[in-house]
Amino acid sequence: MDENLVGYLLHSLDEKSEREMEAYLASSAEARNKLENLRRGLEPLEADREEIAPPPDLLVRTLARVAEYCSQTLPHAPASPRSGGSYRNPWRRVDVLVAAAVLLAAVGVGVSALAHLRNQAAPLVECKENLHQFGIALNAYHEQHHQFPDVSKEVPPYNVAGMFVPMLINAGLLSKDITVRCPGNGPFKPTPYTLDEIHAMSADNFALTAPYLACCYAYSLGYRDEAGYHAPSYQGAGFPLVSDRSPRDQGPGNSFNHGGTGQNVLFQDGHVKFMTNRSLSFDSDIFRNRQGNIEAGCDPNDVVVGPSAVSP
Amino acid sequence: MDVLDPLTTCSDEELLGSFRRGKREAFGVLVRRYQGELYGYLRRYLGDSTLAEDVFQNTFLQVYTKIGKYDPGRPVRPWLYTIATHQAIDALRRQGRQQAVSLEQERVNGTGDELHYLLDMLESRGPDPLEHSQGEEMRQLVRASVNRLPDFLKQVVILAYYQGLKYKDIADIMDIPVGTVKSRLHAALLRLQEAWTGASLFQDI
Repeated sequence: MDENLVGYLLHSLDEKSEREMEAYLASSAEARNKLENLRRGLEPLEADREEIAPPPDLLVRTLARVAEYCSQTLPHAPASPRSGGSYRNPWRRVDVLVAAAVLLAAVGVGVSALAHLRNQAAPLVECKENLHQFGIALNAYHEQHHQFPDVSKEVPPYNVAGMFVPMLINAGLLSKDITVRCPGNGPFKPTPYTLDEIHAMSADNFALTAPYLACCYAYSLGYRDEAGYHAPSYQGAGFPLVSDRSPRDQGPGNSFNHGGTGQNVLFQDGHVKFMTNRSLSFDSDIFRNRQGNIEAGCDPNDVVVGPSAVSP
Repeated sequence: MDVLDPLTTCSDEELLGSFRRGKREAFGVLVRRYQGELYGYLRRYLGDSTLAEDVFQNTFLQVYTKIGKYDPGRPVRPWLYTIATHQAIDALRRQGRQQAVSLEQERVNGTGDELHYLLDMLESRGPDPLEHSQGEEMRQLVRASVNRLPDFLKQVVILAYYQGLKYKDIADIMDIPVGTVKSRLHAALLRLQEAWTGASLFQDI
């Protein structure tokens, strides 16, 4: 019976064991003495009994996280990358807010909570919307040219990854009003120059401009093998095409665009996924090639999405 | 006049049942109901507020996504603790802080003598070893001594003493027999008594 003395003190026994213990204690002075010793022995724990208060916005942040998760995992409408049909982003920022509002509806938190939620969820979702726009334009470009924009065809030093944005705009496939600054990083910022303006620039001026052409985004650098350089072309749904750019210090972590939590990646079939690390099942680092360099991959499966000013 | 939302008066099991049937508002009510209790558990167990919040959020993300695996009518509280505990262990493992299952754990699981040692120690002991400590100092001393316990003992102290769970629920959460819960609790209390006695001796020097 003694083995249940501690449980009796803590009310951890089931009802039957508790009744048995009460009968045992009633009949045994020695048991009562042991119980009293145990009670005194447990007393110091009481000093740390005070309830630990949760952060005031834990509820809202938790529901926001769930809503955000929903926005990243809902199935996408089937779409052929080169179908030419209109692409419908299946889950937009407003949907996340509606989903979160439903979750919040019964818990008595109000407008301020939704504002908080908007601040947290919006940049990630807006970034995804942005990448979807790139995806539509890139697939339309592929439809016309049978490959994605080949920045290597530009004369050096203009052959940098960020050129894919003015190339798409020049082809009439992408609006000039699209932002190349990730919404997680700051307000709207279009690519600064048209293709013609860029071609008219001196090399020195271009060196200053190149980092801002795609700004916060990175573009596939294709790959190079014995046969030469291969611009990015459609290889399959699992191949990244554009993503939040690598950390500015070129360190090993995630993009800084979303606070280092991960990066949105646009894949060749047009879907966007938030990746919490840099690896794919067939490629350990999407920001560097197998030799550890930020340049074209070493084989077709060696994906590298490079920042704006990098040449393949 | 305020009108109570019917959901707020539902039992935990009714709430999860509603959520399982598609009433998404029930989910938020459950999160709010458990935010104090589960966060407190995780904060105490993990010893880190940021990590505790992260694991808390992951716990309810699991509830949201795995609701199909919830058996209607199953007691919700231990089910939530089970998910939270697994998430916490995963988080510790990712941080490299999870202690490997040791021979010591095998030993503690295998003997039944801890209670006798504990009772003997309390029987022969003098005044409260921590009687010199008070207030915040006492609290910190106690929390530090609990934190120094091996994970498998600390967990059972937190669940039984601070969270007030029944032995059977603790056994379910930790996936061990009820007898092991008892022996671990006795072993943990014995170690705490030893630690507090040591602290008292140190203060006297």
